Amino acid sequence: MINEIIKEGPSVAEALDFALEEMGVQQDAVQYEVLDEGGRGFFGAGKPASVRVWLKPGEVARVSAQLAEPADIVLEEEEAPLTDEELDKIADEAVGVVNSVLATLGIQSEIEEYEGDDNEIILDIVGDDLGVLIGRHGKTLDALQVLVAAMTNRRIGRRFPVVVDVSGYRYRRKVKLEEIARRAADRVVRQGRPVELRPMTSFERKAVHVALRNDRRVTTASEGDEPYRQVVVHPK
Amino acid sequence: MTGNANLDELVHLLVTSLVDYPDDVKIESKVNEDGTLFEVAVNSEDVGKIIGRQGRVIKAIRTLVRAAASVNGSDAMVEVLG
Repeated sequence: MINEIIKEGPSVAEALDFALEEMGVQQDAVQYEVLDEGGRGFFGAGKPASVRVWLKPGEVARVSAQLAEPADIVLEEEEAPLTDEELDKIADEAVGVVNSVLATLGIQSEIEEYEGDDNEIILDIVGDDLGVLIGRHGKTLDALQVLVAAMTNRRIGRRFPVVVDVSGYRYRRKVKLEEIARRAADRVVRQGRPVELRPMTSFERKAVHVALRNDRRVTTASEGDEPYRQVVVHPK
Repeated sequence: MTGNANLDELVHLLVTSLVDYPDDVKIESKVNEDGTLFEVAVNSEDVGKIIGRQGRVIKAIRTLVRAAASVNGSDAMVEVLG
């Protein structure tokens, strides 16, 4: 756990962001002082801003307790299964959220709804020329995913897994990643040493971890710092 | 794809949908040759919601807003005033 940190960034707010991210806490848990306001650069030009950030005294114990749990994986609480009616309502809310975002982007598309293997609601935005919603390595789609899930959960007042896809991109990607994961595992067994996969986004890494979760020959771990964080497959 | 992305509406929608006090949201945009800078102020109780655990939410907002700006052939940045 980090109690105190000094961080630089293009602006004070971003330096603070970086610090919060590294500390793994939200802003209400810390106090900070601005060491340097930075230059007048707009997109990162000029002199960087610098902040010193430290945990509020009362937060130290709370945060260390929180960090004992893995931060990467959010376990859904066990709750009573939803009725079809409730599921429909959640799906409707989620579609409403996606449509409201698409409207501001000037995009009109069909949204196909279906249920995934783990009972999650999958919303596939279908249409031509939707590459802008996917982005490099699916980064824009991942951002859309984070925001649609957060907005939907707020609207329905509970956590429910909603997955956003664009023309089946995520599905195809998942199939491909499962294949990459399996091949890496085979190589690990053959060569008897760890194999590093290329840097991936957190969603991609999760797909790899899940794909090899039941492979008794290997273990997986995410190693390194963003944006170069990568899965390493280790022999057991 | 039809029409252009409306960045102001997008930022407003995202931010107000994620906070407890939407009435306290203030968004200022500054345009220069690099693109548009959105400065977002929210109720102090909502700052954590906009930033998210490990900055997940603000990063997602930035990524989506930049993608939207690229539709218009421009760039954009979102900052949360703390």
